[in-house]
Amino acid sequence: MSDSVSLSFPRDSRYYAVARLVVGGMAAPLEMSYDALDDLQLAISSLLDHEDLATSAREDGGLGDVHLRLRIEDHRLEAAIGSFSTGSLDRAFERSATDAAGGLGLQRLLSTIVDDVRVGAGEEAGDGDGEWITLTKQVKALA
Amino acid sequence: MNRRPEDIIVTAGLDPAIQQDIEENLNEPVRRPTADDKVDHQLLYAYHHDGSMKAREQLIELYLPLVRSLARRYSYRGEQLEDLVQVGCIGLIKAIDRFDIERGVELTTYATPNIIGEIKRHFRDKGWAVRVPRGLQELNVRLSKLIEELTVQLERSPTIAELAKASGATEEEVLEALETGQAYSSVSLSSGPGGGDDDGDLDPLESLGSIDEQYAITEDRAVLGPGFAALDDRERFILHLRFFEGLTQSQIASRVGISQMHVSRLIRRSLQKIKDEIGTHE
Repeated sequence: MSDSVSLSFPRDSRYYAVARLVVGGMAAPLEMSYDALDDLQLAISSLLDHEDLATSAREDGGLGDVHLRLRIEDHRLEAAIGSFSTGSLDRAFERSATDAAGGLGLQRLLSTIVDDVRVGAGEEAGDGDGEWITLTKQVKALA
Repeated sequence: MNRRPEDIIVTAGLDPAIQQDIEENLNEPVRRPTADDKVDHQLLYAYHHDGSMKAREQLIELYLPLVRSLARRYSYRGEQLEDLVQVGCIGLIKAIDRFDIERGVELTTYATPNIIGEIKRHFRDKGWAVRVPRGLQELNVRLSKLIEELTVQLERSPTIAELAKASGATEEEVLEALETGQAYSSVSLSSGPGGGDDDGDLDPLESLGSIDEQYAITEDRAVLGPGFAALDDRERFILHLRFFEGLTQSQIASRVGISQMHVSRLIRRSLQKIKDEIGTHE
C-alpha cells in the first residue's frame, strides 16, 4: 500500500477547485505550511490553466480527463499530472523563456514555487501516450 | 397646524414654549396631502394610508432614475448595469415599503442608502464566481488575519492544523475556506479602485500598503516584456520579488505591508493579467 491518492476530473476549470482541495487534503496531515500548499496549488492551477497546453491537448483529440496522482514520500508531496500532448510541456517551457511574459513563463514559475519538476511518460499502465509532469514540494521540518 | 418641515428652521431662536408647541403640533398624525404637495408625498400617503398599490408602482417608476444613476456608479465593476438596476430596485421597494411618512424626511434621503446597500450586498453575495456559503466567507476573512498573526508568532508560515486549531474550525473547513478565497471572480478582483466603497475586501487595490522605493526596480518594462506592462507598479513589484528574487509570500506580505492571503491573490491576479495580455497580442 502506498500513500497515494488519484483523482480524475474533466478538463474544465469548474473542477480545478476540486483538485486544489484534494491537494490541500493531502498536504494537511503532512504539516505542510500554508505558504507551501499555496505554492503547490498555484503550480497545479498554472498547468491546468495554461492555454498552449490546453490547445495542444485539444489538437490531440482532447486527451480525456486530467489525472492527478498525489503521493507522499518522506517529507515531500509529489503531484503527477497528466496527460499532456507529447512535447507540449517542453515547448511551453522553451517558449516561456523568451515570450511576452518577459521570462515569467511556465518554467520560471514552476521552478520558483516547487522544488522539483520532472517531465516524462506516464508511469502506470493506462496512463496513455501523452506526457506527465511531476511536481515535488518538500515539507520542511517545523521550526 | 398644517406645518411643513421647513417651518422648523424659522422657529429657531423663538421662545422655548412656542417652539415646544410647534414641535408637538408636528408630532400629530400626518395630514392628508393636498394637490399642492410634492407628488411623491401624495403617492406615499396613498400607498401607506390608503393601501394603493398603484401609488406604490408610480413611486417606483418615479425613483427609477435615482436607482439608475446609483447603479451606474457601480457598474464598472464588471457587473451588467441592468442587473444592478434590478438589484437597486429591490432596495428602492424596501425603502418605499418601510418609509415612515411621519418622520418628515424626504424619500430620496431614505432610499439612497437603501439602494446602495442592496447593490453592495449584491456584490458581497454575488461577487464570488462560485456561490460560497456565508460561513466559509467569514472563515476565509478570519483566516487571512490568523495567517498573519501566526506567521509573526511562529516566525514561519502556519500549517493547516495550526490554522484549524486557532480558528476553532476543522482542517477540512480551513481548506474549503482557503479555497473560497480563490472563488472570487477575477472581475471583482481586477476592477479599478472603487469610489466610496467601504467593502475593502472586495477590492484589494483599496488596501494598498506603503510605497516601497524598490518599486522602481521593476520599472524597466523593456527588459521585463510586454506582459508586465499590463500590471501596475505594485503587481510588478510583487511578481518580481516572488519569481525573480525568490521571496516567499509571507516575506513579500511584510515587505509590502499587506496580508499574505492578499499577496497570494495578487500573484494569481497578476499572472492572469499577463496571460490575458499575451493572449490579446496573439
